[in-house]
Amino acid sequence: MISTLSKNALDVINNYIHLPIPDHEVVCPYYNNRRSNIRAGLRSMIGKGTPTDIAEEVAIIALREKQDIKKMNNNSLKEFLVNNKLGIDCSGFYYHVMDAELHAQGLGSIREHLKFPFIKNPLRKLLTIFRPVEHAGVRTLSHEKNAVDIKISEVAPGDMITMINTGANHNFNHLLLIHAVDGEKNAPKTIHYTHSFSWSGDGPYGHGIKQGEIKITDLNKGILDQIWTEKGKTGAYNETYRHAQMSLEIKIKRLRALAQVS
Amino acid sequence: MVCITQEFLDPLKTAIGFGLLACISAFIWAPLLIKILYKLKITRRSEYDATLNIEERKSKAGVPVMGGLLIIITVAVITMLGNWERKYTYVPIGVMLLSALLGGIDDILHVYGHERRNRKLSQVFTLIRIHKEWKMRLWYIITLPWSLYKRTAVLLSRHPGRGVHVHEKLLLQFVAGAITAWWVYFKLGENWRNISIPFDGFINIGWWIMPLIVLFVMFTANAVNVADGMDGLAGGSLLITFAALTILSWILGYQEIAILNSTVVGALIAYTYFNVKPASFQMGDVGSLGLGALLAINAIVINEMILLPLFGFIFYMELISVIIQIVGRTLFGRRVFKMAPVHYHFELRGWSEEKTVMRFWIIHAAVVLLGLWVALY
Repeated sequence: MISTLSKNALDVINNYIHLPIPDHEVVCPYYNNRRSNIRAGLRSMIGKGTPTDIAEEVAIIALREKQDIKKMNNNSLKEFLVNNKLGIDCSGFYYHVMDAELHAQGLGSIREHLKFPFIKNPLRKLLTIFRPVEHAGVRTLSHEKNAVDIKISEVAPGDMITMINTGANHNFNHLLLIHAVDGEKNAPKTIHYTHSFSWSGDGPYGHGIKQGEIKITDLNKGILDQIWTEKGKTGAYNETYRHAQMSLEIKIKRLRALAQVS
Repeated sequence: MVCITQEFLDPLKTAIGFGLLACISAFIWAPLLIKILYKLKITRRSEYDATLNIEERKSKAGVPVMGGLLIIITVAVITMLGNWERKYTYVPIGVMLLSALLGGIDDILHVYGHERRNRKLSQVFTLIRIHKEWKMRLWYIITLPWSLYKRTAVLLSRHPGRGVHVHEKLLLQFVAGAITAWWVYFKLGENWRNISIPFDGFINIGWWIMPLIVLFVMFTANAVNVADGMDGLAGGSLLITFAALTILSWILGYQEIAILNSTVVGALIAYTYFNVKPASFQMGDVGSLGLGALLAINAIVINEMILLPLFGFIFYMELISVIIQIVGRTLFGRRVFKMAPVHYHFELRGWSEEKTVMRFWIIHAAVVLLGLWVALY
């Protein structure tokens, strides 16, 4: 038996995989604002926009730069998106999908459930009211005030796999959204996940929203001891898995809003 | 039965006469103006105007700007020759010409100027730290507030291009408004300090009239400037507004102002004839800033400052849409409109230019009518 997120949330994922740009099939690229550090920008320009935000921005930038989207093929459009810093980061992706999921479950907006424990400055705190997604990074989403730890046997759609201090230098965080779980209750067989990420082999334009799966071989072992497959690659060839291995802390978490319901 | 006396009708007849004169004069010299603008290549360029990349608007590149000169010059000359009155028409014409001058400089710089850019604050701080000349480092420290003001003004317009930059424009408009306010307060009578409160009466606001004049002149001039983006939009809307102001100033007994407004209406009729799609010329900043300032000051003269948002409804709505867009972008990280001012939003949603302009005219006419009704109470 396979359990999935609600239709609304799956639609959001689908819109990131097929951005709502007419006559084009483009996957939303990965974009993280850490390097550019743009302040007070449009959320679609700092890796936090919805698929609609990003598609609208494409049209406006194309207008400004005298580009005709209709004449672009899918590859050149993807290049156009990347060159104009349009894309989504992992936490922005998770935020928007889960916002749709919580709405579908009648739990309101994700904004109503999030706390921002790392923000001390009162002005910045005020800003979180207006710009919640921009302040909802991996550490915030996975903080104990916002999420609870989940055992591998309890995993359900909407949960996240968080990787804290990952990468070769342990200097960034990442998360995967679990969008479907195959198996019986308390006995999952396969976890299906989606995330926004860039593999080193993706080149400058190949990155973006990706999907993969984790085959549960032994429920008593940790998540790293299961079989991770993405883009047909497993083990050390699977860069997502490599990052999971490199992270100083990897956990399965569930938003408190969902944990209270379940 | 209400009986209108001949004495009451005479000023209206004179006003209509001036309107007709302005209309005919403007029609006569409009082709000459178009020829001159083409000859001097004062035309709309696409380098700094993203809206010209919208499919339906591509044909606007190359159309002469500064068509507003048709109205400004016609109105100024006719008023100076036949309606030059210290108490009532000095100030409106003076303000109009000052603002038009500023707008004209902007229009010309857009054509003949070179690109200028503003230093970011971080660059100024870096220069303060590393510049080899201590005098320059000191200079950057002293001028830091000015740099801060310049960068803040960039929020209002991110693509200054070649023309007058936003911070310069605001400063010059402030100076123009301040000169007007000083003249009104110190040189003209008590009547200028009154404000009509609808359904109530008049209040004398004393020296408060000065900051209010500055504020309204700046706001209204920029509002008309912002609305001047589609063929016929600003011209047609101004026509409705000034026609209403002509009637109102006639009813309230401001004969000189009624004549002035009627002259503007006459010139606007000729202008709009040439400006409807496909436009033979566009108003440009020279016309929009000049007429915006004139609109504000005319409403102030007849004590109807409070009703300016109704008489200039479409212009205020356009400017407010820009403010909303800026707030939405910086505070919420989102665009409220696909593009601001709001007429572009509708165009990007698929409305044709004609449909947008006509609907805006109709809405504007309805609100102006409301303003007229309120003003009579």
